[in-house]
Amino acid sequence: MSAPSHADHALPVEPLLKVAGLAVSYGRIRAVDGVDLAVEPGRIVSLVGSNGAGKTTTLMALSGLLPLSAGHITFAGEDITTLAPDLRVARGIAHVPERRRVFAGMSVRENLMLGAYSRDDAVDIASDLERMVALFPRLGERMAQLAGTLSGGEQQMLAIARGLMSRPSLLIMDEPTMGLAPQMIDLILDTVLEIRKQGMTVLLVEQNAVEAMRLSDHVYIMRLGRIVHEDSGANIDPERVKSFYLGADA
Amino acid sequence: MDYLGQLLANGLVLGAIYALAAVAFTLVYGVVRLVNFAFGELFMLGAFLTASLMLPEVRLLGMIVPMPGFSLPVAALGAIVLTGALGVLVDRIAYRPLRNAPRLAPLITSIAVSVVLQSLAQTIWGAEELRFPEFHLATLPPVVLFDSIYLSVMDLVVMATALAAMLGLSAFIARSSLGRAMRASAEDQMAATLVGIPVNRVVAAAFAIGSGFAALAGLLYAQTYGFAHSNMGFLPGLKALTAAVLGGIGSIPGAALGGLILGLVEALGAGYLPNGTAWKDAISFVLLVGLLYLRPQGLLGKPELNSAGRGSLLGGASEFGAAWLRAGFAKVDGLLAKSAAAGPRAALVLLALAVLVGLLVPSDYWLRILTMVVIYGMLASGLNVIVGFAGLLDLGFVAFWAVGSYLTSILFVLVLKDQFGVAPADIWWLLYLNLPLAGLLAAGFAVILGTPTLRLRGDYLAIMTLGFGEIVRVVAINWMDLTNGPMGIRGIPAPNLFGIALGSPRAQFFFALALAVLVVFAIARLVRSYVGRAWVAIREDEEAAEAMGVPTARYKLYAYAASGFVGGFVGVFYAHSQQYISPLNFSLFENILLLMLVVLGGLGTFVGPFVGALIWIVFLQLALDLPFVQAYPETRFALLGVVLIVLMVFRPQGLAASARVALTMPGARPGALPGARAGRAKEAA
Amino acid sequence: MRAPSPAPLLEARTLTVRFGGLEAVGGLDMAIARDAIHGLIGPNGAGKTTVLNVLTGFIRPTQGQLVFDGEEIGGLGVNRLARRGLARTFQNIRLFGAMTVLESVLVGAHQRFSANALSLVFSSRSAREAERAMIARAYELLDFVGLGAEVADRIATTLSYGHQRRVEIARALIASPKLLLLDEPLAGMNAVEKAEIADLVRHVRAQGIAVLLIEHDMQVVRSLCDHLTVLEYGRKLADGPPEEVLADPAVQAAYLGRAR
Repeated sequence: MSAPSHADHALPVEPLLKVAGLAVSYGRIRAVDGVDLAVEPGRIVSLVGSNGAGKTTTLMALSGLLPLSAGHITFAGEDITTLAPDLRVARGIAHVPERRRVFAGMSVRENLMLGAYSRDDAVDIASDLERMVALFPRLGERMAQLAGTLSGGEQQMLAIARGLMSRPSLLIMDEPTMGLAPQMIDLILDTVLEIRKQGMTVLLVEQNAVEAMRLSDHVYIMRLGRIVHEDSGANIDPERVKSFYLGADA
Repeated sequence: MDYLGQLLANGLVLGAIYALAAVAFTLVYGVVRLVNFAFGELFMLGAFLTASLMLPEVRLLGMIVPMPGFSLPVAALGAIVLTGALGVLVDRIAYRPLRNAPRLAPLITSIAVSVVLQSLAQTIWGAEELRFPEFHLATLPPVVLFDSIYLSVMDLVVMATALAAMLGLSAFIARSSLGRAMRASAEDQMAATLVGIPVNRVVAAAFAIGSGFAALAGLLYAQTYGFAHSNMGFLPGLKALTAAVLGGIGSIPGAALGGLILGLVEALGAGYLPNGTAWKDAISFVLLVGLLYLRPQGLLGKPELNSAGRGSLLGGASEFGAAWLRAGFAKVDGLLAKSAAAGPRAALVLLALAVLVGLLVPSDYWLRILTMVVIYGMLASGLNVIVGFAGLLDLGFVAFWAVGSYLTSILFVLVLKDQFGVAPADIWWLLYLNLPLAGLLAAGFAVILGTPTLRLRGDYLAIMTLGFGEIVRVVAINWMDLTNGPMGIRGIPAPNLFGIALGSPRAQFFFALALAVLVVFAIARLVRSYVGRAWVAIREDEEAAEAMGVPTARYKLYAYAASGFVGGFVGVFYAHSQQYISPLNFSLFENILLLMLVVLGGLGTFVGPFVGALIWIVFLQLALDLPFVQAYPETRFALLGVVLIVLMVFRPQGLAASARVALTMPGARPGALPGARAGRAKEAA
Repeated sequence: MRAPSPAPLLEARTLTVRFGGLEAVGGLDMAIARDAIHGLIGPNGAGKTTVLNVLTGFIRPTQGQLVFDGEEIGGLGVNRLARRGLARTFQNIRLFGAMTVLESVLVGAHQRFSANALSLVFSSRSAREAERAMIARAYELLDFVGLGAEVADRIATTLSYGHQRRVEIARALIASPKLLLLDEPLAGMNAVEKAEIADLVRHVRAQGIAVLLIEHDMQVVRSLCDHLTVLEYGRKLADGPPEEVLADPAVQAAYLGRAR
């Protein structure tokens, strides 16, 4: 199905996240089928594809929100295929969901504290709060404000910061730029690069394929629930992506 | 001023207790969107457990059991912890499997849990009151405020405890990590899961705290009034739910506010309105109904809570269907499916069977019981129209039944016999006039009551209809001139046809059977047409039905009217068959029982209501031969509740679900009919 | 490019929808011709389903005018719009559970029945005849959407996904609408099923029923639609024939993203 290893796989690095033959069904509809993924530590890996390709479904299966109909998920050498979602967070997987889903009726600080729910080290949590403020100064100004009153971009920052508060080793992000103004998109994507620089591994779902290819070390293209193409970000032919999105075979 | 001050003080004490119990409803509703009707029973258990722990010995299951004789605070703490644990257990067993089920399932389950707990309490502690032991603070002289307002020390303790508990809970919810997790889970379960919150454990915590609050409210209530009783939780439970809805269910300050308002309104109403004490329960429910009509989200609540879930209990089999259960039902299902496919012919066979039974059963005793089966089957069929076909949970159906029974009884006895001295035998024909008349009156009544509920969905609808049902009952008790009040109406003549008395049990059975034929026939004709299709479409997906051009509001009213008609119609015969009625015949429990019978037999089928009634009423009698049941008759109701919970988890469609009703007119199909029939039978097999 | 027909079937003028402060649709002008298969496309969250929900009455527009078949329809309720001839399917198929295929389709014909309670209970001739006529029509439509009479008595939700979609379309068609609104009818289908549904949509149009289609599969959109409206951030980005619209750099950027 997916192409065998490429040049960028040359180094024998054990992947942090390995997905083999993942399939997810909604009732009788198989939304995702036979997906293989590998995410090496310290990299940004993207999953791109048009609406309905099965990207979000794949991510939800990774964080345990949806049960698998087939396949295995290995994280840091451990099989987590049937692990409960809260335990996956404790193992180091943070998932920043599509449309942000901040707790609108709670303050920014409370949202961040909830991100650290799986931890019980009060001192470190306090220092992590400061780290988040350093990463997103605009959140620092709004700590006591209700999350629902933030702008879309600020909510996205909060959602990312909330994810980071669990001290993950893998950050999963689902469409972090959706519906944002262009400068805000720049800011969010720069942050993704910044987080990676600090050693984070990132699995990114983006509709904005051009940006995804530019940012990522490796890109998987999904269509109709399957991986149809993969390559290093730099090697992917934009025309090919265009054909997957717009059906421009003519 | 003194009088007013004293009323306000009383209202505050009562309001504090309502507020505590309202917190239970609101906390759990906030997190899992479930109206847990069983909190009324946890309230009652809090009282019993506290009283038991305070006494040196208690009679449990008829045996004298030594108890520790704790002081009130220690006993209260023990009771709260035990009740909290019970709440968690109930959630784990009865509610957690239904988290993704259609809204009706957990709602019915919570009603069943309520019945189970109440029956068990009555079994364990007996039907008598348990005197609540006096706490030493209660012997202190009352505190006098402004020279004239008397408050006992315990009243002050009640208010202080309530205040401390509410403030403590608010601080816990606002500041603690678990409290934050609860708010997060309430707001967005998926996001809560993603940040690593074990949502199921958070829900369990909400149940533990909520049940603890219910227990605290219950023990304070019992302490104030000096007794514990197995049905003491019923009315305060409804009041607390009212308070929670009044304040805006899901909001803790709202629960406090709602409780206080309700307590004050009741106290002032009882004090100032003519005959106020008698009417005070009605005041609360009028307040509830009015509020739900004008502002369903309550004073401090959010409007989005008034939303409908899609799908019904009949939409599909449970995900928990154990293999042995499915195998066991496969045979029944096959048979029922075949009979359903046979349609009217199967109905004729069943009718012939019923006639045969009526002719052959020798004992009058059993004929009376079978008449009861037919009556309850008819009533359940009426309820089935609104709940089973249109999917609207109506807890006020008994009101329509009451309208029919009272109409005919008042006309025959209070007016014609008592006022004009007309002998019932001379106007035997009036019964036959009353049947459709009462049906129409009850249908009109149903439309009037149904109209304000149109904007409400799901749980709010159930609560509002419950409010209506209670109002009707309170009116029946207190409007002495019209209804003779709690004494009821005696001497209602047995049915009579052209001067031939139909008073014998056998005649009554056949009379009931004839009415049942009419009822089922009329319902079947309506259901097997575009009307029934519109009802079922509303039940399954109201929005989609609307998008298909179905004026859903109007068809909901039609369902109310049809259901009300049957209730009134059957009510007339019920009165003549019993020859005595009183408000006790039309309690909410009767409504719950009818609902359980429909669910047991199978919602949205024609035979289901009769199957449910037959199983239950015959079991009720047969079980009396068992020595255990003779000693503890209440265990039968507990068993019914347990059966219902098991059904909700494993087979929510009910026993006779495969007797699925076709929704097209018989004989209106083109030639494809025989083949299609075979196809359906194969499908089901 | 404007719609080709001078008197469109449906016309939206400066249609605006706000939720709280958020503008979901802003000043949209759109015209659907009487014989069109009109595509409404755009990236996720562009407001397509919101537009469809406004057209079918599920959402009241904050501003703007809606004219359908020469009449102002803004503010009419859902069932009234359905009765005027706007029929729809849902993004996640919404068939009625526990109903057979035949019964589900008949619900779509609700407005064609008028018998009162008494004539139903006594099964009057006219009531029976209406029922018979509509059942016959339902069988015709099942045939039309490519389902045989043998599925008529199956519980609709037990059919395959592709077949459920066809039932949903039959249910929408039985009341003889003027405009059929399809919200992602191809989602979750394989290539063969997609081609079949696309064919079905062409047949619908051939019956003189206009179609508004929200769809993400651009291959299908390209071949099926004769007019496209592209939304981005709730506003109209482009409007015109598919080849022209899809070649527009602004549209490509909306889908693929702009390079910084």
